[in-house]
Amino acid sequence: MSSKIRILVPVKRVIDAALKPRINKTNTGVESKGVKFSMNPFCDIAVEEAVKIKEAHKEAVESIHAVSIGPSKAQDILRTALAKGVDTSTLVDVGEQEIEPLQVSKLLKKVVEQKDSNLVILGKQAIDDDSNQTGQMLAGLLGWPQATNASKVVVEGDFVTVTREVDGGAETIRAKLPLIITTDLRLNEPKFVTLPKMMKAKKKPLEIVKPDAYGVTIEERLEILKVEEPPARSAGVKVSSVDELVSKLQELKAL
Amino acid sequence: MNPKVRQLYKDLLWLAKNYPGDYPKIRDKLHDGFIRNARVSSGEELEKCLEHGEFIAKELQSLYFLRTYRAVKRNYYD
Repeated sequence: MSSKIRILVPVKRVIDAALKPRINKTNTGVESKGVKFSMNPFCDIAVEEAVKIKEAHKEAVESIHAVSIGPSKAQDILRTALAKGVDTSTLVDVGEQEIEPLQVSKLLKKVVEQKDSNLVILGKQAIDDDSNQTGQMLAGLLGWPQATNASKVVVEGDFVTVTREVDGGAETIRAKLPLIITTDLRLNEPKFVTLPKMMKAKKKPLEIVKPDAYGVTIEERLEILKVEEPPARSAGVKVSSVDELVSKLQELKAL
Repeated sequence: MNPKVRQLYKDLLWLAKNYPGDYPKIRDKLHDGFIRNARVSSGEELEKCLEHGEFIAKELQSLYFLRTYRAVKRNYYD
């Protein structure tokens, strides 16, 4: 008899992926005022995968819990997750400050223990800080196996087979629950949530807690010194004839 | 107003909020589209209009998925 699967999906609120972020005046981060925020695309894929697993294994999956660590506005993101099919959610309200992956992992560990989760599906990285650390650190703190950059997930009883995207190919691994999975871009295609689903999600539970409730003190270990844009591409040169092109290339020692 | 039509309008308005560009512009466009078919009240023609509306809603959903997918692919995978 296999035990019930309780899935935990951490989600992050980030600046919308389709927007081009602007650096703020003090060069310490990106401008966040008047910018559209949405769920991190990789987290979106993680939510979709959790819901898919639940649909495919209605008997085996007990619940899906979503958690977000961020400002109080991250409630919107959790509502979206609830609308997509997540059952319950928690917001760990840490205010406007950006939290480092280690602190996030420590908080997530507490949530995993509180919710007694045995499968954590999270995005491989957030598109704002690109750390790609949270899943791995959480696996380390919990002492669980991890399957990062998943492009296919198959659940069979207590065992999960994950196909990972690695350089130049795929790697298939199999592990027993509990397990950490981090999602890659090609795992699934998350649907944009519709209004009726969003309305229904308003009735689903969303609990707001402070990090102190988990006994974790947020301390910054890193200091951001400078944020700058990549150098702009310099303009090209037009040539009028083949000879000119050849001479230009020779000048650049490309021929 | 037919409740199905009202619901469709609400759903499309919700989707339109995420449409790239000016929200008022797309909202007016959507409104115009509904006004154009205001005389349709029942029967086969109404079904056809509702079907078209749902088609647009699905197209918008796909568009939003692709928009994010392409942005991430361009930034991380290309």
